[in-house]
Amino acid sequence: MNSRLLCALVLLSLTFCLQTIAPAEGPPAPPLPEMSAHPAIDFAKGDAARQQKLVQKLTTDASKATAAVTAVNQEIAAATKSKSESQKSIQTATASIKKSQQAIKTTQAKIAQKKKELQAAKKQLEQASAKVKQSSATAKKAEELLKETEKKLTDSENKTDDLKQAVEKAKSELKKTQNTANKSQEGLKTAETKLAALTKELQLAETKLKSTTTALATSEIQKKKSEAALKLADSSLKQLPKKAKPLTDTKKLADTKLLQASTKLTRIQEKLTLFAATRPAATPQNIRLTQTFKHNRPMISCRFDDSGDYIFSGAMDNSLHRWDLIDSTKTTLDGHKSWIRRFDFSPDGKSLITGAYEGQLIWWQTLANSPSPQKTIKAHHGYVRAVAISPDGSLLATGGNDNLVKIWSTTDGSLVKELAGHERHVYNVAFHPNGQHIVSGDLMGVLKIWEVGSWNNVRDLNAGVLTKYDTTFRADCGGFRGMDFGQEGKLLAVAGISAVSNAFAGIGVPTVVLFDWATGKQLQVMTPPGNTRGTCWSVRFHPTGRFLAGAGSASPGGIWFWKIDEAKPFFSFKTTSAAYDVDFHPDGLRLAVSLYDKTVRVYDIGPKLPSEKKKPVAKKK
Amino acid sequence: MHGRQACNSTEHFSRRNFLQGVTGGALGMAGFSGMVQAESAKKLISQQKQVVVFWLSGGMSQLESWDPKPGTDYGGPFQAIPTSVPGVHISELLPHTAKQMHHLALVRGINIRENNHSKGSIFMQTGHKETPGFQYPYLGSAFSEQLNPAESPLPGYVCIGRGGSPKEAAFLGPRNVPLTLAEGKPPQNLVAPKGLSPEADRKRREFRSKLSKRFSLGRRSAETEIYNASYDQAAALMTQKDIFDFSKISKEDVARYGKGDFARNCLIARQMVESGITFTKVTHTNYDSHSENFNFHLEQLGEFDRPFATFMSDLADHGLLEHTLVICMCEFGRTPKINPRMGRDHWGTAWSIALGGCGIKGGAVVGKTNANGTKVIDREVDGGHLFHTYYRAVGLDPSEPFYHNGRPFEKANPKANPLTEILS
Repeated sequence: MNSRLLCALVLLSLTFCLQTIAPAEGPPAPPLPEMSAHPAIDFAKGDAARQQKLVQKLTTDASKATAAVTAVNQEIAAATKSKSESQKSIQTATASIKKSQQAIKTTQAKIAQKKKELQAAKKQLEQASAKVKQSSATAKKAEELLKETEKKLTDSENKTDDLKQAVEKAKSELKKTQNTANKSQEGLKTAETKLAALTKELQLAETKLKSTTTALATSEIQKKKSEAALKLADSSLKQLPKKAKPLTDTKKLADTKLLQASTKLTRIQEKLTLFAATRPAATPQNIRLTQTFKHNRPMISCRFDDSGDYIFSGAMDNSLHRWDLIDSTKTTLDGHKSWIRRFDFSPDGKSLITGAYEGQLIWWQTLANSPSPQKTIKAHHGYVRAVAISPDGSLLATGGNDNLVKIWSTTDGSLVKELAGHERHVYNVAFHPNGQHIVSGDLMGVLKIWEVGSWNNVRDLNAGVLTKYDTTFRADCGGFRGMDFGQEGKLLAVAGISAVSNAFAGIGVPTVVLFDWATGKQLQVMTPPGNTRGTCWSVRFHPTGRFLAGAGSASPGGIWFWKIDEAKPFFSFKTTSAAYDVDFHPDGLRLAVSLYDKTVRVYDIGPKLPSEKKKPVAKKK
Repeated sequence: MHGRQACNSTEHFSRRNFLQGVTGGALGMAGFSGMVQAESAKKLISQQKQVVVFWLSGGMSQLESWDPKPGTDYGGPFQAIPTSVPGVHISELLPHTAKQMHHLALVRGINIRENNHSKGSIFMQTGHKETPGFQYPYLGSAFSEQLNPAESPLPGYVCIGRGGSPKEAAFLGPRNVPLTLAEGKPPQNLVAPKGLSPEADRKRREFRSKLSKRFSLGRRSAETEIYNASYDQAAALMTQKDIFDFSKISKEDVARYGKGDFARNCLIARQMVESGITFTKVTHTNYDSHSENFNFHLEQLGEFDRPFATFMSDLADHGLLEHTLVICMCEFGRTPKINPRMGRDHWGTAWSIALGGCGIKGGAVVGKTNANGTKVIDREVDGGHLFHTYYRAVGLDPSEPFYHNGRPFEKANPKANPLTEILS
């Protein structure tokens, strides 16, 4: 191999081996703007402050969530305890009820028995009483007989042996009857004693029955209470887990969010440390995904606002969506009736103007909590395809399907001028950074340059490579999907599709054409590597102006990074699906793409943090 | 046809030489020249049913035309607009057609279960799914055969624009092959070559006829009949060259229909109807928008809308719509789901066509798809049902079969039935 060629190859290899983008070999790159501190540091400081605030808020949220979970767990524990106690109480009450029931049964039997005995005793008593009565009467009779016999003896002058014997007999009879009466009396007394005893026993039994019955009732009440308590406890134990689950999920989410936010804060702080030590530079080769914002429709446009705090995105619906880059809060701006492909911010960042496919423009307050349309104007017949605010913020340029470019006052929305000349749909417009010219581009690859103020079409640029008439399908395919000025207006990049071989299948090459603004000369036709087929839907210069990024659909999609003097990218990144728009964060170290897979993704292209460089520890087997 | 006898015969050699002279101009039987007079033509026109098919090649998106669903997952960026029929909305891409909806009926529940261009085209234009080894005639040829009066010198089927293939006639013969007017120009060789006087022309034709008769003796076959018929047709066509004189179209009409090939073709189609042509097919291409569906439908329907609406309006105003069936169709619709190239793909599952005029209830809608347009939820039909409907609309009985080589072939699928909801 020729030694000169070898040297050239070695040099080229060295260039590509560099981590940061070295100035191009060809035309000298413009010097970076003078900065005492890199803007990325200010943005990182702002991010750190907001992130810190978020961490504080999330810490509070996590604490609340934990407290809620703890409270419900306590409820569960209490319900469990109550259930256990209720079960025990029921057991005890059940045993007690059984015992009482048994005792009642026994006592009732006893009472029945005693009543029987009492009945018998009463009968005995009656018999004994009758006996006593009878024996007393007999004794009385015997006494009377004795008396009579004694009187007879006393009265008689002949105290005969018969009379003496009769007296003795009467005395004996009396003694006998008196004995019988006494025995009867004793019998009666016994019967009375027995009756009294039985009566007392019966009373005792009845008292016992009463008390046992009361005990039974008490046990039954206790059992019912316990059963009710058990039911309540069971119900609580059924409901509380359902109550607990969302609280647990909330806690889990809160903890995760807190962890993520804390990790992010650590990373931001790490960034600040790194940036303080080493001036940060964008290195697309370092690209890594840091945030994904999800929606329910494909996302067709995206822009960071100038504060760097938000990403705005249009979708295949009628709304613009705003995500906070710190806390991921999503806010929807409703008002349009069709898709929003292009929108722009006022220089002070306070206003935002969107243009949609139903032909209207809407003014918004960019950072309102709940943005609502401030002004709505019917701007074009058919799509509004392009929206651009002048650098001084006073004018708005739009392009549409009526082949017109229109100039509006941003203050009151009045029409300043209609610029006719394009013969097909106007796909894109942009103000030159010096505010003195507008460029508009149409389906046919025609770029018209208009002078602000006179509104004359001062010249045209031809990007015919970005359009083609397909003779098979008899259709024009092309249009400027993306347009951006770079290096303070020295360069103009336009994006679309070239070399179309099948218009209706969209088979062509994603292409960016780079113009020198001053001369109108086409400097580069930039395409992806290899045999990539698709459309370049968007192009953006990096804030430094040293390179630009194109994003597009390409089975499925990609972001391509070109140096300004090279036709092929120095780096290509495959996206998860077709990419419809790309934008750089004002810090120059991040970019966002809006994708067909219904996401907006933010990537970091700054220097890798020490924590990112650490290799994960291999797990021990 | 070229048996040994014919190849070596003097007649064949003479015929070959003779045929070489034919390409310069067709000859026909003298009888036709006196046949067509203004009154006869008018009579034919007043009695005759006519059909015009607008064939939107590639598959027009039903979501960007007859069955819009704005604001839904797959609705796309366009709005729906009210039409001249209260309660019926179509896409904002058809503002002029919307004003003519009272002349049109919509069939919104088509499911042909085909996503292939060729198969979808065959189903929609023959009423039958593609049958291996057999070709059903296309609607144009079938109606040419059944509606075009036998004595008419006019071609039964004219195709304006791209397309129109001889295979469409299948077994119905050359008389029902479409006459294609490509690029909006009249057929070639309508005018006799310069220097050929009418008398000389008549003598040539008589001589050819004599030779043909002599050749046919003992050799008469379907092919000789076709061969002779084609000369007769050509001769008849030459007598009707006025109907292909498009210079008669006024500037005012051109302005009303708008610019572009399709506008011009609609004007030609109107002239065909006015002249009594039985079946006219106007093709418009290309709707096969796998990429940039919305941009391409903006363009295509932008070309289609005004001329089509003006055509309908003109036919109605001139009393022609009463006996002219107009069908606006394609081989399938397009997928509700939008693909990454901002396109829609082939979709035979839930889509729509429009038709109006003779036998059709203007303003009627039959069939319905679900909210996202992914499924037919009411009155699902296919090409078979549509063919029954076309036949009934023009007063023909689709249950009578074709006969080919002695075998019957149904004109419309007997398992399907007409859409009585839209038949008047």
